[in-house]
Amino acid sequence: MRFVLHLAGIFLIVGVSRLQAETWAVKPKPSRERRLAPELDLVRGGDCQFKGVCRNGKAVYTMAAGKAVAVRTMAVNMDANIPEVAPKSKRLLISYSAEGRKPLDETLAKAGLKKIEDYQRGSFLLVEPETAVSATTVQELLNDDAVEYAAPDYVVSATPAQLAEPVAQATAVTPNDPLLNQLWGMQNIGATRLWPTLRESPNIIVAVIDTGIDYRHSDLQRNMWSRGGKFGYDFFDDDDDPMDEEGHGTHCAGTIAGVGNNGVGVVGVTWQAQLMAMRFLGPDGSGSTSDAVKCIDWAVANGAHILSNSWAGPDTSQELSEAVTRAEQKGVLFVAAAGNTAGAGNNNDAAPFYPASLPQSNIISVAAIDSRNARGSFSHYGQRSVDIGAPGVGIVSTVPNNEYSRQDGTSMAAPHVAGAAALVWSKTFAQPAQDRSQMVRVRDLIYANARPVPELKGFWGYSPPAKVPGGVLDLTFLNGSTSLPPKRLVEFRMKVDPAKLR
Amino acid sequence: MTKQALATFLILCLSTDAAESTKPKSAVHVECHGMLRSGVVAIGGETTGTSIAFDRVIWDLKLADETGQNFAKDHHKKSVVVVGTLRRMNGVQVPSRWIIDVERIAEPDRATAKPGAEVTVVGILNRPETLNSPEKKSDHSPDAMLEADGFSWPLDLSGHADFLKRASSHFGKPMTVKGQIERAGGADSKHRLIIRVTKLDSAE
Repeated sequence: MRFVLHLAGIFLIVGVSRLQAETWAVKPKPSRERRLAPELDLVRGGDCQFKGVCRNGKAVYTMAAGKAVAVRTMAVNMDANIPEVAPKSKRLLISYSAEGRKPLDETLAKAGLKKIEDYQRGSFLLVEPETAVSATTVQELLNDDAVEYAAPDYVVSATPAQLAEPVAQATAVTPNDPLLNQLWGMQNIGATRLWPTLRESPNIIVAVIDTGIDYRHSDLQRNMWSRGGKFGYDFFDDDDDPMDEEGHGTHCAGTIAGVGNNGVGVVGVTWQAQLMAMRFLGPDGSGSTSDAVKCIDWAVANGAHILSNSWAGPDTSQELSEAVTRAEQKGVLFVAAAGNTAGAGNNNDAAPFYPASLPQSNIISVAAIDSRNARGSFSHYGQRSVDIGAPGVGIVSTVPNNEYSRQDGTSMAAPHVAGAAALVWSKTFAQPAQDRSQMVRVRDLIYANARPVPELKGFWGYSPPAKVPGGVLDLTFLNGSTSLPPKRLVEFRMKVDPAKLR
Repeated sequence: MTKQALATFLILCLSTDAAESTKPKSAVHVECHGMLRSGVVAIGGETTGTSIAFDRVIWDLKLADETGQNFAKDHHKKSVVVVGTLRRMNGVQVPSRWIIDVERIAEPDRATAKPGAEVTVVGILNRPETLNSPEKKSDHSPDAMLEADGFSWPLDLSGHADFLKRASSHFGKPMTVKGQIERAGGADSKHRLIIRVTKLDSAE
């Protein structure tokens, strides 16, 4: 039987791999060949050719019928005529070392690749295959030591018009990240006004306790904490590779500390910090409390100043509470998402969600607001159990494989606070340390300078150490001194009828 | 005049009620054997905190009372049998998830226990989309779909020679379907869930 070529949309779903009845595909494990993106690694077997990336950002392959059983188990949408599956971009990005050793022209010729652009500022080549990317193409790239990493030129999930024109020229204070104008949250919390004077917190370690982080993302790579070549720990699989298989943790990381002014994608609240990747939530986005406890302890033991926790559950345990207490005693700030319930949210005072509802003083429980300063309809609230609001509706940030997406949730609000805490810590203390008095100071500065929003009064911020009922995160105070604001003077006035004055 | 209007209104209300009562109530009744997990947390807190897993399917459990919750805590990572109603819930960060409102939870009968789920679904039987397409039907394509509570369940009708014929004469009509939840293409398949039908009756 002759080979018939099928066009197959291979859904390398990194962001969505949940076990539901309608789920048809899963993401393969990250590539074993570290110099190749998973999409290109798949081609090495020789059973298929990479044709490009389709409109929805997924990779498209040509494969020989009957020779690609393993690939086809991950395949859906076999119809090439569906517009969404038709290849949109077939270009590749080939990163080379910043020192300037570049892939040889001979390599590109043998690989059947045509150079489109040498983007020296980002140390990568933009190339286009003459036909398709085959096993030979990939092998030729691997044979050249100057090739540090090869990946498709991903189609990002943002409107092309916005991608085409940079928001601003690169200056010292306005980052040239092309998606900046979609990051309404950065304006809302005053980060854009702060950046001219303060934008980096290189000595602050923020642990993202979540689904892991795609530490190879071009908007995160430079800000990854690392020790011995490792970026954190994976307590879901019990190994030292916390690569994100779901996407949620990567999204949180981009909001906290997406690399600023690199001409790519987004920028975080802080342009520079050390992101520690802690994985305990699996591909379906869930995990166990016991693994969360291990993540907390590991991050604290390895020097984290701030823990960003965009996860929760209705049950708590003594073990979780004790782990948060250990972090508190060490002087580690614990930022926690208040939780989401589609529809009307939930009052955490009445029906608590943990860890956000735990009583430890190092916890900042964060609700979500939208761009009009209204509570996100789904956001949990609670006068006594929720402390502050932060942007959490329509938040654009990083997702695996150099992509970006817009997401809603208190999961997106908590990272704004975690990133803000990093800047506050960095500005307030010349030598940041895991120190209880430093942590309390950072926490109190965030609470004391929250911006009161009258419409949000009644939802949160009533229980000390929170200070502002209905307050939302606001960093503009960092433009000045970081001493705590003086207590407000109370003015007494009497109405006096002048006619009655003698 | 006012009396006439009131009478008309009452008649309309009664006739609407009567029409509603002739429709079968969509529901998915389930008996599920699997491994229980308690103390579950999830992104954005979108979980009931307890789940049951079988054949790489994970469904949340909504336990009705403290007795059930204590039972779940005592049976973390143990095999259980759960009886209840299955529903789909839309989320914020988890687009949708399945929840069993638990009516009964117990240790399974060791002699007969086998991980899996048997469902009884009342809904409207529909043609599968692939039958309308000129393309060749794949091995994993459903034979029919059952619309219940806004979700289309794919059906595998290969369990009995008569099912396909019976289904073809009942498209668009309310049916009661009983069957096992399986993965289209086998237990190791990445494909979606399908009901392998063991009983197919009219619900009219």
